[in-house]
Amino acid sequence: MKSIFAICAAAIIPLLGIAEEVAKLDYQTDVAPLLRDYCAGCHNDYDREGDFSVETFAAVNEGGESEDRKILVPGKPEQSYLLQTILKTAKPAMPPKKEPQLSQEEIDLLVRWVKEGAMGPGKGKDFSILSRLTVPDIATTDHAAEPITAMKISPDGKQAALARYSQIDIQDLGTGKVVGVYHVDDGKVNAVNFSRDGKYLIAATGVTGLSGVAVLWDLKTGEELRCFGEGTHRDILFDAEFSPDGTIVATAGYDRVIRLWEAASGKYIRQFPSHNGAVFDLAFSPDGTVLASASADSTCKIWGVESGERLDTLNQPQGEQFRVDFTPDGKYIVGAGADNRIRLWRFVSKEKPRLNPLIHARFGHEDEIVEFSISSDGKTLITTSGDRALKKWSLPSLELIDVFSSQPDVLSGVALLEDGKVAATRLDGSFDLLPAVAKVELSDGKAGRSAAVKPMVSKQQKEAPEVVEEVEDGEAPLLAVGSTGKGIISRAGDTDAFRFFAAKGEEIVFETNAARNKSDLDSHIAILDASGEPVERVVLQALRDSWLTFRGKDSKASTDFRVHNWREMELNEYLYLNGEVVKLWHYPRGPDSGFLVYPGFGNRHTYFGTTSLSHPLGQPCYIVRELPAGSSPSPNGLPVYRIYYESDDDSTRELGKDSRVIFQSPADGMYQVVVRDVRGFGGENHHYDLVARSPKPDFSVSVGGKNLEISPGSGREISFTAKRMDDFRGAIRIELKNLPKGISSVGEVTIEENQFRAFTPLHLAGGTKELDAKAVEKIEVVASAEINGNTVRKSLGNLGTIKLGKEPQVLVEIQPDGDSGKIAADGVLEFTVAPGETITAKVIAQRLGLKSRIDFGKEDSGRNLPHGLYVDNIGLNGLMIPEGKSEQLFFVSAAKWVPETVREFHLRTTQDGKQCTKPVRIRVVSGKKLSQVE
Amino acid sequence: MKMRFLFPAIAILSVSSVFAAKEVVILPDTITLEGPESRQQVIAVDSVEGVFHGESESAVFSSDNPAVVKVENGMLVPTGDGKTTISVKTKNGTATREVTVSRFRQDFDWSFNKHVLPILTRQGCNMGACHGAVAGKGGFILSLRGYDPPADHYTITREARGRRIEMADPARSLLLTKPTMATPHKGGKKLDSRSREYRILAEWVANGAVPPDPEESVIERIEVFPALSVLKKGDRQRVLVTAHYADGSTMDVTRWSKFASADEAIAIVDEDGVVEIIGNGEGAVSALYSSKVALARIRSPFGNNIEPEVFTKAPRANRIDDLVLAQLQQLELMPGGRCSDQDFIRRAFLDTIGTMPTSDEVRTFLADEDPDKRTKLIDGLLQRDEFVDYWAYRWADVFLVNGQLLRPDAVKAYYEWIRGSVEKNLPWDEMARQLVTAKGVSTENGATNFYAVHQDPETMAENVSQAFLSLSINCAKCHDHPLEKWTNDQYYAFANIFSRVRAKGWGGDPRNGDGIRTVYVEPRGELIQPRTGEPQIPAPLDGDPIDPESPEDRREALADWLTNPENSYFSRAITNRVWAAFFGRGLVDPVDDLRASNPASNEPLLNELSGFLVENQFDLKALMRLILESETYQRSGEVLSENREDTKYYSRYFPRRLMAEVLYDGIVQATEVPTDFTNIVLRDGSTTKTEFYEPGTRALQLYDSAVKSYFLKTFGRNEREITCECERSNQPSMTQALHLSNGDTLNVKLADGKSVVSRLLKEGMDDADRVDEAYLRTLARFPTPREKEGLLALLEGAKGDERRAAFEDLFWALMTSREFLFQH
Repeated sequence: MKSIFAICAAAIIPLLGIAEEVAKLDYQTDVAPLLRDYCAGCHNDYDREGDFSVETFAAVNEGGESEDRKILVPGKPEQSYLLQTILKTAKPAMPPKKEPQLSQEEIDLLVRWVKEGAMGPGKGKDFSILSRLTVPDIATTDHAAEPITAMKISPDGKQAALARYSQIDIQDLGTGKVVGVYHVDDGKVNAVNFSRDGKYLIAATGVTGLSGVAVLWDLKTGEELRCFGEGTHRDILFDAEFSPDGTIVATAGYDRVIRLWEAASGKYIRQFPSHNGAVFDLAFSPDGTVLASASADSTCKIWGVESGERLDTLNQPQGEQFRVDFTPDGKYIVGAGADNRIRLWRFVSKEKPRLNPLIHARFGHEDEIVEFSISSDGKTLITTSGDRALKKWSLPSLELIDVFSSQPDVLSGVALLEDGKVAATRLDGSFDLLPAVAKVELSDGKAGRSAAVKPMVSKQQKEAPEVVEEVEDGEAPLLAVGSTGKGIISRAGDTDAFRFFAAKGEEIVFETNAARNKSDLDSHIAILDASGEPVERVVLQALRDSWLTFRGKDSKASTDFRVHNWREMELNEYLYLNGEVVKLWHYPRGPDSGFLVYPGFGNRHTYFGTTSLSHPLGQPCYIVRELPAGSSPSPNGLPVYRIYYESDDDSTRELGKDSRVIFQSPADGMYQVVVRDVRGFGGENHHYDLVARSPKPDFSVSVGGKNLEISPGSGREISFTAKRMDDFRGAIRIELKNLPKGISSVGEVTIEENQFRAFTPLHLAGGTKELDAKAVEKIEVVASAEINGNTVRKSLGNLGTIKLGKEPQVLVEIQPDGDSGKIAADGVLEFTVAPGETITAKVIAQRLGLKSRIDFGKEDSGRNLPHGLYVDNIGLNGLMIPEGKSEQLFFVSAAKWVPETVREFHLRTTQDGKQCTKPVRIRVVSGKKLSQVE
Repeated sequence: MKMRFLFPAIAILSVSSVFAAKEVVILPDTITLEGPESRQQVIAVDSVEGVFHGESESAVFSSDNPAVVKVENGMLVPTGDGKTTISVKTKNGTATREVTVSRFRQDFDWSFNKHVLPILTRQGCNMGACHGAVAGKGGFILSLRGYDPPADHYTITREARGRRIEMADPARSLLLTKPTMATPHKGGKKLDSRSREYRILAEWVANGAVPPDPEESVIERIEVFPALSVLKKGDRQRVLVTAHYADGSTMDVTRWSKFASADEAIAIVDEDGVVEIIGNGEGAVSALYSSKVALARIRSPFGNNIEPEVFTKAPRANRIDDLVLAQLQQLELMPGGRCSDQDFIRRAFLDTIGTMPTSDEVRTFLADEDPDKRTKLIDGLLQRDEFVDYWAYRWADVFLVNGQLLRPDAVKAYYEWIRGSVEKNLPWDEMARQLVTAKGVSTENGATNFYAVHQDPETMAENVSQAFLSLSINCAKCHDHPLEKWTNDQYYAFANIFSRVRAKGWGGDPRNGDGIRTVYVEPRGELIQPRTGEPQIPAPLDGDPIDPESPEDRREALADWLTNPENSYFSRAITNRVWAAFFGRGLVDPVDDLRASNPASNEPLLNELSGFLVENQFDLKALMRLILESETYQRSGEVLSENREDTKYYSRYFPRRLMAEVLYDGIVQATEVPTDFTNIVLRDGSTTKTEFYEPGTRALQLYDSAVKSYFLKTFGRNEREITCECERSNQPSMTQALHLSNGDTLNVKLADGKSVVSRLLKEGMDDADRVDEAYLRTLARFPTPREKEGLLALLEGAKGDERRAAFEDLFWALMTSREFLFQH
């Protein structure tokens, strides 16, 4: 059966021989092989180029799109279009120019066949010429290991089904003995599954490249009950799954089509519109109502079993998806594949099409993730990749728990057993039970910042000399805290060093004064330990890779950081760009915008002492996590960066081109601070001062919008911008005291922890005719904050003058959308939002002359919203009330991590002198059920 | 070994095969077969005095000992260990060659790298149109032409649960059923199940589909046989390819090599390496196997019967003439005579300083009777200010001084750095070093703007390579270069040299900002090679690796390698650029495409001149002087019947259209009416004012290709978007013709009240003088008596107001003539 030689011989011998005496040509043995070899690649039932197929004799006789031509005229090859194309007497000549051509003998044979009457196969023998594979016999040598291609553990956890070529062994896990063997026709078994009651076994198999079939057995009797998909699936199957109740079988494979069958009868139920690539995996939801599929088209899709409807396309993946599954509680969907990432979606599209929100996208492996398995308690996920790595993760948090030693070959099956062991099968044919706990040590720095040294205030201050001169070619002079070093980088490439002592945990600030002092030096300072090695400050491990899109960036802007795949990034994450680290502050408004990074306005800040750089379009960048110095995180295929105590340009941009490092000593000892020109330049005017001092966390606040003119009945905004010294991060409260009668405000405004700005409107009572200038003068603004346990207060003076403004052209007001907000006891309109939620509200305009569109700004339209809350769904024009309209619905979303807080916000027009609404309150309350939210 | 001493012989001898006796040689010259599956194709070639003249007719091979080796259709098949001799009988004689067979009885496994991948490559499976495409085909994705063996092995044997192989029944492997069409294959039938290729793939699977062995000996080079042949039109010649491995072993890889002809007007080659000669000249066929390239050179003389003494008596000024004449003799091309003085002065001015000589300069030169006057003229030209303008402009093309990429102050600083370098006659290697290692502020050190135009390590590497080595390595960014030796690893090793270059300040928005950037170099930082996820150890293209731990600026090591006298890529690249500027065509063409498979039209000459440049410490003026003084440069443009077909061997001077800027300045100089350059065109098509250019600024003094000028754009100036001479066009077009005849450049200038026409009509001279002046200032010659007579007659007929029109017409006619528009 397997000999192609036999067929070829049959085809050739009549030509060589005694033509008169041989029998007529046989379609299946003589003609079909030629059609298969030269035509069927493009003309088959599935892929009908020119609407023509040669798969069966019947199909040939149907002809193709040239309906006016007769495809076969028995006895007359020259009139048969099929032959005309082959003889090149009609167009298009076949096979196409660049494809292999029939030999003259082969053409003669076809001509003879038509002359003989173009006879087809006998009755009942017109099977597809592609349904059978005829290949030479080639024996496998002893060197070749027969792979195990799939594995499943029985529902009772006692047996494993191990799939090899055309055979499935049932092995008892206790004894290791094979207790049952099931055969399929020649073909690879790509998946094997038990029914949930443990009574049945099903295998996904077929002939690679030709056909797919699922075979069902009764495990009790060992009997093959039935097959699914024969004659319909056009390529081998990759999965065949039982529905949880065992009534339905779902099949899918390389031909991209998913089909459903009745398990008991084998009756075909339906197929799904399916995928644009091979389907590698299927999974029923625990209640059996929904089917998930993973495909080579880089998506997972969700289908209603009953309706046949597509409920969602999970299209975030960036490579083929090999595996998909539901967690046993039905809350989440897990997918993984060629983009090395594990994704976790919250499963919400249960009854109708809905977006299943992506919860996590973790870079899991350094190579494609080929297989995973979820433990029966739903708490653990085990994944394995093409580079033979095996890892364990927690669910649903997707934290890495364990890394196994590298496996001897790529794993084809993996399962977490009840006893914690891991069953693993591999493509080298091996099957092992791996111990529950991996032996590989993780130096992941999970302890986080707590592993770092406790900060300590320096005690060196008192006896320090005021000035230390750097000496040429001598030993580095000693620089104590409280002293200033002085020197000149006189030659290109020179470095100056100062020694200093630091106790463990001691914090010392080093800063240069050079460029600010008209020096040509572009200073760079670095801290070295006693052995001259740079002192590590932090380790940054990339978690997500991306690149800059749209255009390059200069080294100043804090706006418009456009990065690929930004939807998987979160605010307050660090973004590493070629040595610079910034922190995300505000989401892009949409595809045509970018992140804002801290501080959210003006020149951007950098982190960990890195320097702000220019970046070209396409520059790779990474979301990184911060690990303590010395960490060696387990590899995930993305880079790990070690950041040292050094500084080129001050991170907060206060010192211009001068440098500042806040050094926290990891151990008692002598260190060096080294000064150089970052460009390697030098010269007589490359002088500098190097100050060593103790950190002095502090703040100052500047008030914007002083000397107001407020229209009666309306409000004007004032802003408070904080400067934070030496890493002071705490909240800053601002009070407006002694507001004169008629002027109202919210009373207290807060610049949140880690933030830099707050806004508030001052409102003037309607009908106010004049303001008492003396009373205005008495207004006092006071800022206060807790620094190292002490309350520090700073008076910011008054607000200058406040004058009566012109009659407003427009008055604006925030109102609830239906019952989205309510009036609180103090009379202020109050909204409540949960992290991850979006609420609606309305802005109403009273047009008193202003006819044009009323704009409220873009990403900055929600004034004074808590960090992480933002006006959502605004287009390119931002939030606005169109011309001729007087109200607009708007949305406020809260990021899913926002802590509980209460804060006032308002809206501000950009026209008519920037009229403001009265402030409304927004309360962030966690604990609302997310299902309600959605 | 034998080929080594044959080479010089070929260079010296001009062989006329009619008179010398033919002998027969079997190729390749050493034959060792290792293992039972080794094979060696052999050919018999005719040789005359050591020069190969094509395959011998009716060659019949035989083996002296069929127990060691047998011959099947010219293929040697081992049959047992030992030594024997194979013989060939041909029409022109017989030959023998010793053959050694070893390890015949040893266990043998097919190798993924040496056997499996070459088959996939040869059958076209991994080519760009099939599974080698980025998206693959039918879900099956291979690396382009097999540059990533481990990934391909994984794809074939492991991906999708090992879909593509079937260990239990190898013949059922998709790898075999698809290409044989046992299962439908959109790519058609690519393999016959009775072929050796099928057997190799099947046995490899049956043997466990073993992965590539990292210990396996790596390929070092490939060699072609015959390396040089002298053939004539219609001849066919098979080229054999042998791979040499690090362990000293060799393998016949003819069957797996990809062949391409360097000049398809001379020779074509089919996929089996059979060359057919279809034209005359020096051709070459490149063989590519496993990222190694070798050239089989082919000489096809033009068949002119020229007496040897034509060459011995031809005047020679220097080494250029020796090498050009040697080649002309080999190719049977007639060297033309010397050009006239009037041709020479115009030619030398235009090529050396991009400027036409004034009428006074022409008069003086023509009247000068000093026999050394041409040398004096050359010396003078090399010292002129216009020389600085012209060459600064040319290098600004190479380095992309472009206001659409940089802000104005940066454009100025960048240009001034280039101009200053030319003015100081900074040696080319020093200029390269300053540019490559540039750091500091963009407006203070103009050279740093190279790193503003190219902002990421990959484009820095690509453009350093393109500008200084004339090598395009861009393809290797994604995969091994499909036609050249550069691998993906080499690309990333090279690019990693630039991974520590950083900039602060302006970000690259050509419409906004001050353009001020500070370029500096970090002591740490690596570029990740995406294929491996690891940094590639930095190294200049094929230079030694740089210590990755060293904090030193890696660009210094690059500059050392780049400018090293041993680095012939560097010296050849600049030599070819200079040569092309004087002859309109590089010895290698295109001028900045110096890949190995694109040899020079005269390799010995390019090597000699690049050596000369090295000897002269990269003083470009020395090279220019050598070229200007050569008889080759001073040859007449006259076409002779014995050199009519020559387009690249310099038997005569090849005329070409003037470059846009030179032509424009020529028009301004002749008409005496300059145009002001006041605007820059930005990328989005909008314009912005510039105040850089004083009235009277010449086109060659512009810093920048973004300066608005319809004329320069129409005449194909280099737009400086990418580092490529191909951006400049010297092709005539209908738009150009129409613009000159009817457009507002020439006509407006002639009609201008301050034009030369007005001046000549006012000055006290007669029409004969005026005609002389018109000829001298446009064509650098006096009118012929016939021309003058006719013109004077016409001018006489023009009276009153018509006189001005007549003189405008005279200039118009001269300046729209090919003699004006062309360098000749």
